[in-house]
Amino acid sequence: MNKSENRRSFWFIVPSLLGVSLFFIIPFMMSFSYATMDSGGSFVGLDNFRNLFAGDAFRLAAMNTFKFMAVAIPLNIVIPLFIACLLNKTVRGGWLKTVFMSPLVIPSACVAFFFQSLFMSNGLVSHILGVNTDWLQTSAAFPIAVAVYVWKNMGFNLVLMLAGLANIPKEYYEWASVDGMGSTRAFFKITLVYLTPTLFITFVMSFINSFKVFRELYMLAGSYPHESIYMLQHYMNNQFSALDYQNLSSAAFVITAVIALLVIALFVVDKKSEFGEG
Amino acid sequence: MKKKLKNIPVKTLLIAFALLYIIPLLIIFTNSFMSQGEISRHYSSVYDAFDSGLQGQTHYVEYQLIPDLISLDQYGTLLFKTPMYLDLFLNSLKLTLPIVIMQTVIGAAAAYGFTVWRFRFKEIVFCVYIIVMVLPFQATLVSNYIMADKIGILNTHLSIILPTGFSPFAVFIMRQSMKDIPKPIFEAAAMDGASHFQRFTRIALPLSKGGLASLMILSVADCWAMVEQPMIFLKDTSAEPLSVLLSQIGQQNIGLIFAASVFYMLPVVWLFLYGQEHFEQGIKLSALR
Amino acid sequence: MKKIILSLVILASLALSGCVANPTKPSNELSIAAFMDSEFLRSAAKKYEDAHDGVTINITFYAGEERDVPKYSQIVNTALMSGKGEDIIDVSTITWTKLAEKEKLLDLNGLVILDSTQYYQNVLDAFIYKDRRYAIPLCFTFETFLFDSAFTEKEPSADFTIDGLLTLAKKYPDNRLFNGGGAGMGQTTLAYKLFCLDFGNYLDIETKKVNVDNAQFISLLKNIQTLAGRLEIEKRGDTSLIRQYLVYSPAMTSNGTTDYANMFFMTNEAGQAAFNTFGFLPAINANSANKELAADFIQYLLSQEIQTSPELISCPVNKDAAAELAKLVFRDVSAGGYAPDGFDDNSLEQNIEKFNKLTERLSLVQNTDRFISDFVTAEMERYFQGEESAEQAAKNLQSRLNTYLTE
Repeated sequence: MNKSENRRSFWFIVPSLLGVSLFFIIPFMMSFSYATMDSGGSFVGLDNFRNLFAGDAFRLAAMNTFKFMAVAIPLNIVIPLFIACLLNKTVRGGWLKTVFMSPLVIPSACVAFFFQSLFMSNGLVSHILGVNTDWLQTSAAFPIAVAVYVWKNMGFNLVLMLAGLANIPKEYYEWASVDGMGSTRAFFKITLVYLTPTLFITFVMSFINSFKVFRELYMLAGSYPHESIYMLQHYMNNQFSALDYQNLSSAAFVITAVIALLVIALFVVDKKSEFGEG
Repeated sequence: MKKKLKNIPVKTLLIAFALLYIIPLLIIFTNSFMSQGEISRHYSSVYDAFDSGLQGQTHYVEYQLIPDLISLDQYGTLLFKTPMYLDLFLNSLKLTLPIVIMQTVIGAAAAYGFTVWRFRFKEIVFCVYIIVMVLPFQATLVSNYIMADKIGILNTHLSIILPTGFSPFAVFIMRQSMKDIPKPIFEAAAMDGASHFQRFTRIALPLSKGGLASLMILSVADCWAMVEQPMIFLKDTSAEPLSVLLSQIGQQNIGLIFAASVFYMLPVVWLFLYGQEHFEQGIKLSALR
Repeated sequence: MKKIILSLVILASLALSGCVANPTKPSNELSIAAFMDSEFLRSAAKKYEDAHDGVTINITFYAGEERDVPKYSQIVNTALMSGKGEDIIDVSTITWTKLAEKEKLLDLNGLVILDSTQYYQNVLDAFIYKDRRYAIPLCFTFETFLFDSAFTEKEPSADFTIDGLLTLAKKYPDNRLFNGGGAGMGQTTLAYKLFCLDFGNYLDIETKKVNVDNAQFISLLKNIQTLAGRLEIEKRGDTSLIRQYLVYSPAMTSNGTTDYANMFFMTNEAGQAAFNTFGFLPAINANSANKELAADFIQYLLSQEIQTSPELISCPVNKDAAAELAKLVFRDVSAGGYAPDGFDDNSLEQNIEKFNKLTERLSLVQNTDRFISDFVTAEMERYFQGEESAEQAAKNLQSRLNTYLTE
């Protein structure tokens, strides 16, 4: 491709680039000014950031978000992977796929209602156990939140993985068994390897959705839920309501910085593996 | 022989798991035909006058698949007593359609661009895209709001359509899909004299049908369910989409929640089933490649 | 979430206008933001305008019902955060301590003169925050309890802390302990009242420290649980030992029927009792251009003349006004022939003395942070409904309050 052709291909990106800059990047930079000011409007440098980390609330939120992701995201990848492998063998997938994708269409209010009816003080779980506990107010809140997340998001990952699995030619497995490779080794050496791009997407989707689960959690447990599920989104939402724009901007910046580091790290790994494959 | 034995526990496991998804759907559908009174009886927290002798005691939630009395009470209330329903439906459409179209067109184009453009810092730009895409909405919400105010589109649907339409997520999905297209195909077409636009429309798009279908499904599901943005950017309650009404029903009037959910889901479900065909086709096509 | 709309409106103006409020020149127009419509405020404003040539007072009544509190709070917050807002702000239903911390309210020390002999100083001083005076109450009410006189003789040294009540409860198993005066007093209400009495022990707003996960709170819950059967819920025996009584002013004493001898407060260990303010609670906007005019108006609201207006429904903070009100009512009562035998001006004076003495112990103002009250009452409710144990409730509440305060 010569230079002018290359430049022409750039034009395909231009509309998107303009939009993203205008609506996301530029205003985001603008809001940094708030992170360095106090409520009176005078410059205070990094004070807001210092206060941010000094407050228990932010640290709790960050720790919980991290814990949640560390538990929920792997579950949201491993479980659909397992099911996809099973489904792949039995082949009768069609209607099951639709069923597992259904949470995507069920409104959040309804999802929250169901989980509430299960776990509130007069819900199904309490009924079975014969008690009167509001489980969302106990440390069971964390597993419940994970369950909500996995239930809601597993379906899409499942479909992606099924598609990815379908793309692996059956011959590879046949050759492997001819070569004497057991099914476990075949799984690791064939399935996982060829599923890597799919796994990458499911990871990214899971990561994005781990923030989105806030909507259901908010409907279930309000602005100040049990301490095990108070996450960064709750923190930021409360700062909104309290009009604490300074705190909000600093928090947003810290979160963006962490995410940026993660993404960059992921990118580097991705590029390295691409080079490795030649 | 071993395979058959394995199949049974596997199948049972699968079906058990699937039940977790089927049952809620069934409940939503059948409970939508219960009267509001019946709903509150099943889900209320104390026994009321109906179950005398147990008054005031804790009443555990009762799930019931078949209504005691089939009634169109919920639907009636929704359609007639809160006549805004159809307007809200239209509002949801007004938001979803433009956003999905924007995302698809702009996203696919940008994806093509990222695929064929050669630039040393291309990946850095894409990296920025991913960062923006992954951020929780609270981080970018206020930026969007300020910009919308400056442009003067606040309180119109545009204030939501524009930022969401430019979402980097669309670019990401499309690019993942286009990545798989072997470069030689493009090169051959280029040598045949095809312009970028032709390569885009005749090669890239058809070969990334899977990605397009994924994007549309996700995008529709997301837009249809948007709650926070409409509440913040639109002051007029008459301009709100259906999803906002649902979130409020969840807080206030539980009795209507099932019928409202059915209404909410029908269009999207239809779209899914319709789109799934293409999705499957797209996957098969890319496999054939 | 609808509140976010309002907050973001102002965030946008912050961004666009560049957050520096231009100090405007003082004028003769005073603006006031008030929560509830109040005849008292209207007539006081009018009198002030008549007395001061050229001054106009504009009052905006924003809301009026309980459920409008979040909305009013949002409006005031938004206005103040952007450097705008009226000169005088009614902070009666909002968490003014947060505004004070952000320096949106003016320190009134020195601007409004408070002579300690003229006012119920302890009531005024309860509003001191971080050694500064941001809000000044105009009137107050308090709850007392009346001990059934048949028992006063039996228990002359009864102690009305929670332990004292428990002892009484054990001693008289056949009697109802409390009669809430018709409104009833559920466990949560009583527990919350006691919680507020010890508020300083549990929560320190200034330093953002919470100390609820401790034996004191847990025993509070358990004790109320014990007492629960002795509240209005079960009818046991005819006589209730203690009746709830809401005192509005010494005017109530002027018909001779108030039983000061048997009145007691629920107090904490230090002997402090709580009171409530009623209606308009003025504070001055730190960004106001008419600070002196505003301060003068507040001073006017505290004067004896205004404090005796009948629209001030509760007890005025101005002592002389309170006494005068009592006398006025007594005049009416005796003119109508309703005064009890032997009750004369002297007895009235004595009653007023007793009232003043009684009120000396009031030094805690009820918490107005609705988040805190919501958290505490919800957690208590869960305990009393049997949904969680006392230890769990303490732990949950501790973490929730801590998160809220440290946000």
